[in-house]
Amino acid sequence: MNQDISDLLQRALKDDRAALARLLSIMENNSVLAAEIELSLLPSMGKSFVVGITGPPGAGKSSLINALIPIAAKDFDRTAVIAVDPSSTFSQGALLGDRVRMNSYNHSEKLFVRSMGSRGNLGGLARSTVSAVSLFDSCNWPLIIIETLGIGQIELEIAEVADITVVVLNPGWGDTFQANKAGITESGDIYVINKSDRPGVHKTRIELEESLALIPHRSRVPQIVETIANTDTGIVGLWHTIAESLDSKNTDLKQIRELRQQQLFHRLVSFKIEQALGVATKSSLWKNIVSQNIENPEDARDLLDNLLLDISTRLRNY
Amino acid sequence: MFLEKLLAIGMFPYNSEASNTMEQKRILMAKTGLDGHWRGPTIVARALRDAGYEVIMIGMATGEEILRACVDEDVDLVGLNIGGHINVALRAIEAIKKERQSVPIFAGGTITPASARELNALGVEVYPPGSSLTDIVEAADRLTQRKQA
Ligand code: B12
Ligand SMILES: Nc1nc2c(ncn2[C@@H]2O[C@H](COP(=O)(O)OP(=O)(O)O)[C@@H](O)[C@H]2O)c(=O)[nH]1
Ligand SMILES: [Mg+2]
Repeated sequence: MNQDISDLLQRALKDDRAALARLLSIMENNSVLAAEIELSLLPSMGKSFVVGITGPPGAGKSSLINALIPIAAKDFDRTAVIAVDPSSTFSQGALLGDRVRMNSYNHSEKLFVRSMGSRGNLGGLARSTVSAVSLFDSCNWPLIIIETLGIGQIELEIAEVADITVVVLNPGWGDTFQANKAGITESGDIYVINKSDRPGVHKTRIELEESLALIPHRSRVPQIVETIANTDTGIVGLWHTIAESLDSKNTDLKQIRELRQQQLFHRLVSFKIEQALGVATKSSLWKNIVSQNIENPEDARDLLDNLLLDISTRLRNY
Repeated sequence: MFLEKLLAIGMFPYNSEASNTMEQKRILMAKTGLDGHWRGPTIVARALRDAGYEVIMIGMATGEEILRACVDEDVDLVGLNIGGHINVALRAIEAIKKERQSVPIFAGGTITPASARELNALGVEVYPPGSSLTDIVEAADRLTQRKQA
């Protein structure tokens, strides 16, 4: 790893915010460096809880986070927020507006808000969001909240990163998201009906309960909480539900640490393989092989074996 | 054949070197006065987004909040929307000059000629009402030293 980056890492681990912020950009801009940085963070990570907040645009995710932060502060020394908004597929640019709602504690040393564009990743998270979690974790941010857009199946990805996933909906959700009901209800541990100052809360709760009942293999029926984010109504209750859910999942730190490490190695291995694959597919070997005619299943099997052999040789030469 | 097809539909996300590295410039957009006037900064932010920038909006903010966002978001440029008084803007500029000296600042909105001169003297470029969005995007390209695509 180059000297600049090790210096930044040293500084970030000693609580230098600017260094941490710079590393986050480096990881966003360069996935190879991100993988390297994460690998070097491995010994220091696995100390934080990660709460994912997902839901359709405008549901009140940012407002809820803004309201939760001061309450969470009673249980956690400090909080990092990673807020992901979609990047434009045309310009690659993005309007990152979540901070507008998270304004009440912006001046506090104990809060670090980082906005991210999804940069072409379709899963609702930016590709580097997970790397950012590793960094915040290593730099002693004990609570990490991720805000991400989720509609339908998309929020599934957050469930792989977060210890607890909170799905935010509004009254009337059943009417708008009829077709997506199955998708939106699969990954949540907690469901929030925010904007419950609006009509239709009861109907929405019943519809939600019905959809949740349809999901098989759930060890625990998800809780439904009603909130009004901009008047702080129901926020203490929501935080209790989150904290309780963290407990009941038996998420002790050792377990989280093991899980994170496992996930990290998974990601790094598949990243390396994809990289090798990317280079391999450009080689003449691969180009020639695929232009051959495949006439029977054995040929296809042989072809696959050859390609796998090529990849494993490449990986060994890394 | 099947492999070519997979490549064509982009099944292998890392098959181009370019996808590993993507330098994206980031701009902070803050409002320092007259909170009802959000049209100007929003139009400017959209133009910058359409030009490929990640624009971090923070709405109305104090000098300290602007500095905090500037550091935490690791931005390449700070944009200040000013409405009348420039006191908050001056505090933000002073703080940024002290802590993040290398981050350039530009500004727009309702600014009197005298205030514009004061800002210019501090190295802050000013784009008053009526400025063209093309000029503003060009200024961003120049100030962030973004390579032209
Ligand atoms: C529309 C308008 C309103 C609307 C705002 C609608 C909205 N959502 O934005 C409403 C009706 C709400 C409004 C209210 C008021 N307004 Co008014 N308003 C205007 C008006 C007519 C146009 C503003 C506008 O939107 N222009 C279009 C945008 C695109 O232009 P812009 O904001 O100037 O932005 C351009 C540049 O400045 C620059 N730019 C802007 N921001 C940034 C940021 C960066 C980083 C950069 C690089 C460039 C940049 O790029 C843009 C494109 O060129 C102006 C007069 C005028 N002609 O400017 C008065 C004006 C701004 N308003 C004024 C006043 C006094 C008020 C009120 C106090 C009136 C009152 N007495 O109630 C209230 C304040 C409310 C509040 N709390 O903020 C005064 C401000 C005077 C001063 N010295 O600050 C003005 C100048 C009118 C005047 N001549 O008196 N207003
Ligand atoms: N009436 C009402 N409005 C809310 C509530 N929570 C958030 N909002 C508003 O809904 C809009 C979107 O909120 P935001 O937090 O940005 O949603 P996000 O896109 O999910 O992050 C904002 O204008 C908020 O002020 C609520 O409980 N009741
Ligand atoms: Mg939001």
